[in-house]
Amino acid sequence: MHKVLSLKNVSYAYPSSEQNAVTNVSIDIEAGKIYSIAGINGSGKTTLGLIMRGFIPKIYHGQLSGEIRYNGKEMSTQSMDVLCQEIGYVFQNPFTQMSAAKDTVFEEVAFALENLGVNPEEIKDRVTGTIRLLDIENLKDKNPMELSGGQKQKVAIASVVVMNPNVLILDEPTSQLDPVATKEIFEIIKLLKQRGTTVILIEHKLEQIAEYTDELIIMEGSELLVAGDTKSVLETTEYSQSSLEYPKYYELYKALNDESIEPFYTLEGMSTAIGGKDE
Amino acid sequence: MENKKSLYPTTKFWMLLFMFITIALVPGYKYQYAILPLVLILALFSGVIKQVTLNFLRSTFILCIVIFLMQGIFYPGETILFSVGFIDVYQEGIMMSLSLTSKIVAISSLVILFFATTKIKDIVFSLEKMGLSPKATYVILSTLQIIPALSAKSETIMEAQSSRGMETEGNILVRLKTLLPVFTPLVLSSLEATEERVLTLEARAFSSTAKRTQIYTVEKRAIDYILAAVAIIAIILFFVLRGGL
Amino acid sequence: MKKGFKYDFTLLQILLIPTCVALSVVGYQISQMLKLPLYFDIAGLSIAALLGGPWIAALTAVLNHTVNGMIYPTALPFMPVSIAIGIQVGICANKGMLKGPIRTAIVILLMSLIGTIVSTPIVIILFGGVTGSTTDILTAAFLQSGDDILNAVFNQTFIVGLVNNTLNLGLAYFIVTRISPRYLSKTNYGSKFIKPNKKVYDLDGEVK
Repeated sequence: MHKVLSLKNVSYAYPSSEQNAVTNVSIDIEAGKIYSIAGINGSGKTTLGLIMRGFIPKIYHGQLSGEIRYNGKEMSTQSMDVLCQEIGYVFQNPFTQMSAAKDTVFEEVAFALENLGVNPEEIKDRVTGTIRLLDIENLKDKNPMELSGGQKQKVAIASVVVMNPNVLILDEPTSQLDPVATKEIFEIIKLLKQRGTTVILIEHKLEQIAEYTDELIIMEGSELLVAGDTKSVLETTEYSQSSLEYPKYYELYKALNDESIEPFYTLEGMSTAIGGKDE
Repeated sequence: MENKKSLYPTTKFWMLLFMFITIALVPGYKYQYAILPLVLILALFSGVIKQVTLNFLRSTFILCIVIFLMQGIFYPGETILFSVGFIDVYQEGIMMSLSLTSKIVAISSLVILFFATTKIKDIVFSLEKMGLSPKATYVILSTLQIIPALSAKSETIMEAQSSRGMETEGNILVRLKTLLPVFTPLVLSSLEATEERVLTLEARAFSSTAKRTQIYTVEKRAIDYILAAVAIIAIILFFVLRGGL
Repeated sequence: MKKGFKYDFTLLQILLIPTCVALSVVGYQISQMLKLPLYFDIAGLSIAALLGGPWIAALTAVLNHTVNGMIYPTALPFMPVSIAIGIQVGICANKGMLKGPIRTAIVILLMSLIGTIVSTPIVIILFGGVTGSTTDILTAAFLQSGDDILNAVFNQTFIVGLVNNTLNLGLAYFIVTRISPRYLSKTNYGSKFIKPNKKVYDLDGEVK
């Protein structure tokens, strides 16, 4: 498969910090899959996302080493304009993701294309197409600042998807949303995958994402702990030693398949379930 | 789109410039005072009479009343116009007040009318067309979006704090102390928001070197060219007839 | 560190302008809601000056008066007053003049003096000595006691300015020292207000 992003021995420390936020990470991102970067707070997952987008080192300075390639080309040689269109980035906070300069959702979604100097007729076509795709046509004349969190997040995704990016990175896009809005955002992510977009999700709750994700990348203490397809990562001993919890349904699945656990309907099994063996 | 089309912002600018020049230079106060009813009539036809009247009363009316009081009483005059109790009101002070307030009322009401009938979006569009940088126009538009958002947030904080028993009444010191738990979180959260907004803007190609395009446009119509030309000619004529600057 | 006009206009610095204008407007609204006799209407400007430096503060002043002027046109002529104060506070803060009570007092004194010098001619020539706020009573009192209009307005503006500037700058300083060091270190002038021994958080919430 085609490698869109490829990191080799990448380490990074924020300015005025002696400690690495990311240490010696090597990973290949293959086109058309959904990846999830998971880890507890402080594991370096957001920083890894910023590196994959090129925000580090273009916006954040500090110590960066290693090799980062986008489509085989050295990331640092790519211009910001190109990176904007190739790699979309959606952030956590819906409120700060509105440009705060546009008074309709339609114009909000058009903002990036205006900045890139796309001709107005083409902008209108692309915006219309994007808001139809994400099913937010009903919001088109509303003021983006007055939307709910979930609506804002959808507009934020639309504002990036309108550039037709090859890769879309989303940093905890649902952490501030209710379950209904969360479900809708994940449906959008699935839809984008079907259209061939490579999706990289940054999450700390595996509960929701394991269902959608093809590949898991587990970060722990600034290092990449383990990576691979979701099921095999969950089965590794590295994962069991990580600070992350297992998704509930995975625990259930394991329990159902674990023959060493006494069936609940035996007396012994019940006593185990209630309070452990009395030895 | 709207049915009632507004004039292009620069057309209004030329007309305003003519008005401001004549207000400043025409002697006396009758011409200046005649502008207020004119503004009110225009406001009535534009459907903004309520807003214009309210803003005028709040910003200008009281100020002018105080000018009359202060100048009438304290202007070093000789001719006593009338006396109220032991206070003498001088004619010179009243004349001075008429001269000052007529200009204030005229200019102020015109400015209020201009902003009540002109979309900031249109003004900003014309400014960008004249060469103002997209960063500058962003700052203007963003300010107008952030003010109501922050204002709503401050009300939420106020309500939350007063339900927790915060004092909004009481003596000055108590109320002054109340300011901190309301204002501090507002500042902190809005400043940290700017940090995230930088990334949002960068992710939307805000720093792109491409020549920016705009999907929102305002067109100049024939009437704009005519009115702007009339205003410019009127300015020139005014100075010619007046005999120089 | 690089200095100069252009260096001050990074994206983060530019975004300070709308935020601080909004803070000034909301500061005014809150003071009205709390029925305070003095207005926290330059708290936003002071914050802009402390974090963004003199030029960002000057632009904040321009925009602040323009926005106010849309509804209260009589605020427009006072734009130069705020510009001057913004630049002065920005320069003073940058020169480390906000350290210690004596130096801070000098900054407030300077603020009030500059504000008064710029504003007095505007008040007298355009508005006949009247500002339209309750503090006009003070001007009237000075006039009554025999001052001429120039002295009366000058004294009134200076006294009101002293109180107002102390409160506004005080509030701004109080808040700025509570901003996260991570944010302060990214602004061009804010790093002076980082308190030592405070924990630093990066984007991942890591404690350094």
